[in-house]
Amino acid sequence: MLRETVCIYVVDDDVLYCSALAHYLSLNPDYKVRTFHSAKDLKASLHENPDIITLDYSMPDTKGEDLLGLIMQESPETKVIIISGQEDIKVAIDLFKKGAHDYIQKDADTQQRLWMAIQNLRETIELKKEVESLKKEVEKKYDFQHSIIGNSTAIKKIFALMEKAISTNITVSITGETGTGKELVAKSIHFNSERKKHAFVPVNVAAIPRDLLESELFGHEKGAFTGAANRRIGKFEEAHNGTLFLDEIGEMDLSMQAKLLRALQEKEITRIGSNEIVKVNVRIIVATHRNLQEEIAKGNFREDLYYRLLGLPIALPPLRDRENDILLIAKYFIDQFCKENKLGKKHLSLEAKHKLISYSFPGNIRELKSLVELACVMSEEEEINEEHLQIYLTPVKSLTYGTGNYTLREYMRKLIQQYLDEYDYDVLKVAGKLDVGKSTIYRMINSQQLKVSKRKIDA
Amino acid sequence: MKKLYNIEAILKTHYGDQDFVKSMAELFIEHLPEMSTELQKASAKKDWNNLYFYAHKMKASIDLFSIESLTDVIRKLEKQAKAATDSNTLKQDVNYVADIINACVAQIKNDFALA
Repeated sequence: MLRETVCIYVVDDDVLYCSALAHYLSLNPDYKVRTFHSAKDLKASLHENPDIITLDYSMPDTKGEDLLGLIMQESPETKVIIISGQEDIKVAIDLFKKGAHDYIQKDADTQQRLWMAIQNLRETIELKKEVESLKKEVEKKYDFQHSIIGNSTAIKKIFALMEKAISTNITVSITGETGTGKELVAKSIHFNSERKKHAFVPVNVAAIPRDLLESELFGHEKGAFTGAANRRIGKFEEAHNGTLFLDEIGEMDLSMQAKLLRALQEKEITRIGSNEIVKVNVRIIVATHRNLQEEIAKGNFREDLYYRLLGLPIALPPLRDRENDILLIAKYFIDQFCKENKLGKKHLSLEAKHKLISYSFPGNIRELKSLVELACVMSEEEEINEEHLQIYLTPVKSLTYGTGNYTLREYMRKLIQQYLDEYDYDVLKVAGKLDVGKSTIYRMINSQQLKVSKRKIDA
Repeated sequence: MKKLYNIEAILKTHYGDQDFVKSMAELFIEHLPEMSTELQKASAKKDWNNLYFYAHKMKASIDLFSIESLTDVIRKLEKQAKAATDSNTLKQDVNYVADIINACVAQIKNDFALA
């Protein structure tokens, strides 16, 4: 990895000492060193935000502590190492309090010690830069125009709703079948909102035992119940100023729902076993795959909580209703998987595309992802064929007799096609099952009304 | 005459860079006589602040060039100035520093063939 250059200012009114230090530091080719002999000169160059300043405490034109204060004000990112000929602990402590990073005495070992100090600082600086770039990457990752893929009108409506959710603090309730991307939508809303600098705290209500949920959400004091050996901060407090994502909210039991409602209404919580009330500022996003209105009718979900949580409802469409998007998303996952696993570029064959589109995807995008990833592994060549797509469930998109304006001929074709798919393209068997002549089927295959897998034709 | 200074230490920390040592020698000739004059002026006026300031500053350069005959004297002066106490050896000490510095400058000029 190419290391970045570190810009160092050496400030010392002693010309000799200053050039000795500067020369010593510049032995490292990564260091860009400049020297300053007066506070005035330094002030004029501070706006360039050097990474590190080594500062002589006793400058003739300004007091060391004032100069330090000025540096911290003008260029707060700069790390200041004080170099002093005086041996005064009190002064050193004062300077540390004012923001100095290190304090080194002028003596025979100064240069070596400074070298070490700068090496350490440099690591810190590099880590800081790395954290910043990673942060940006996270933001990019959840830039939903990139992370949520689709061109269908259904998904465009979702984008519009998300834009609204991002610009406000409104509670968001996300519904959708399993695997439609509820958590991804929640994360995208958080990382694009003003709360992105604070925590995104996901809680899967279904995954936490009933009895522990309260302590998980609100925290507890030491000794609040058997096993509460330590004080614990709850998820609400963890998400202060950020976003709390309550997944599978429909699984919450009624007594907990009452406590949650109170917390949401009062915007405050009490840790279990504590009298202290803690104010929290949390944005709530909830998700469920259940139909909450049905749950209310059954008496499993509190109506008042439902209205409190409803906020901006976002109903994610199942993948089968986004037909155009299936191929887009499949392509995205294939490209991503091949890149991550250093496979060459792969693409779907026409038959494979057809197979994907006609499948119902009960597991939605999650299922699509694992399906195409497996296909990438199974296919040896560039092209992913339909036999690589291992759909184990019977194609659920069965003929819905009675709906759809099909002619009798179309019904017949579809029915035979379905039987062919089911019986592995064994024409004789299908002919027997459907009680039609095998030549009828062969004729339809030859006129390409029916599709059979390549394998069988070759055989 | 006995050699008053020693550049071994500088050479060592700067990995035997002769050019650099020469540039340091030039800086020494340029700045140290001026500093010792200021030291004399301050002591004559009993200006303890300036006396401390110059003694402190010269200390670093004296250590850098390992001028052993001044190691203790310059520290004594620095301490004395900080405490702002007069003594009957003050003038003598300051003049001794000036003499040694001048002798060093002459030696360095000679050794590095500097004007």
